[in-house]
Amino acid sequence: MIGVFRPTSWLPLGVLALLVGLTLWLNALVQPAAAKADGNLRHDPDLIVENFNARKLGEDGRVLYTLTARKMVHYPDDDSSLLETLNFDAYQPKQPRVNITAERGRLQKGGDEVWIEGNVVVHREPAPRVEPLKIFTDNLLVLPDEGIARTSSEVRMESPSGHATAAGLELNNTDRTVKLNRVRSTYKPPAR
Amino acid sequence: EKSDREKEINIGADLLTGDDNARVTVFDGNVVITQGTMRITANKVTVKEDAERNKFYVANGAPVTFRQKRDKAEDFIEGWAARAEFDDKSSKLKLFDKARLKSVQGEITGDLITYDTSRELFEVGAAQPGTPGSRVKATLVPQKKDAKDGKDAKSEAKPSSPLTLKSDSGPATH
Repeated sequence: MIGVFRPTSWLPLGVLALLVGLTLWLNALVQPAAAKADGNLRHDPDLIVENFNARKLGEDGRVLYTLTARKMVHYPDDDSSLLETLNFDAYQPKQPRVNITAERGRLQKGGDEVWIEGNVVVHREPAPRVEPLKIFTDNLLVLPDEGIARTSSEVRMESPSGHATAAGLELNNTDRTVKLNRVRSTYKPPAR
Repeated sequence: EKSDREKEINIGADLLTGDDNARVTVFDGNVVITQGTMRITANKVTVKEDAERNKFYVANGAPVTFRQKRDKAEDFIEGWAARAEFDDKSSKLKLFDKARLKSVQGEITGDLITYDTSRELFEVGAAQPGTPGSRVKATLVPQKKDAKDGKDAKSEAKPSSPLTLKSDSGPATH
């Protein structure tokens, strides 16, 4: 009848949850610069960092996140920051490594809203009983405080056991749900 | 067809909602599931997963439709019901509530029809065995061709009178 298919093992929940983690961390990274904001109205940067490379360590000293960007610019007038050529790796304990790349990262409103834009690719490595998974979309809005990642552009997901497209996605990390609009998915039933 | 089970499964829906805590995925709105020659349409399909990650599907529709080509005969078997249940392990499809199953051999209606898609056999029974007033109605049409295409699940009936089965002793569907 219906072969086994595993929509839930597919759900990019854990993966996209990392995005929220990323943006929370990004906020922390740019905060010190924000403190020096002066009152002028022009949208001039007050901080530019080339070949930005940051690592976040866990209590045990092991690396949790690494983030590299070709350039980071901070604007005090609206407390926004722009990162170019974003490359983020997450080494969560007992989780497969996840890599996220995008052309730009924009932190708005002091980081309450983070846009990850341009060829966003989320790649989860395989692990025991966990399939490798790739997610492609054009942009993703992350609201770190609410633990939400959302896009209304097309999302494509691929893994060895199948692929899916959707016309929009919303991940809610607090209640661990994901919504996919107009989803079309194809699964290969595992060998019987 | 038996080979359907090896084929890719396609699912389309207006909305998928996945709840990782409850391990439930719900496909909502114009849900179409196809696998090989099998096709199911429903308004909503809820997929639950047990600890061993076996999947249990509940499809609701007005009605849920089911269609699959048969190996044994050159025809399709079609089913309708308000609710359909199936799972990964057994190849059984359960049609509940105004259930109807039709093939070239005839048509059968009842509260609950269980169709084994790999053995192409069906059982009819009342949803709760012995509930009064739940009638099983079967209209059997003899094979047009001679009966060489293998023994049929249903015995031949006189062409003129539809066979009406009593539902009380129907095999309890486990």
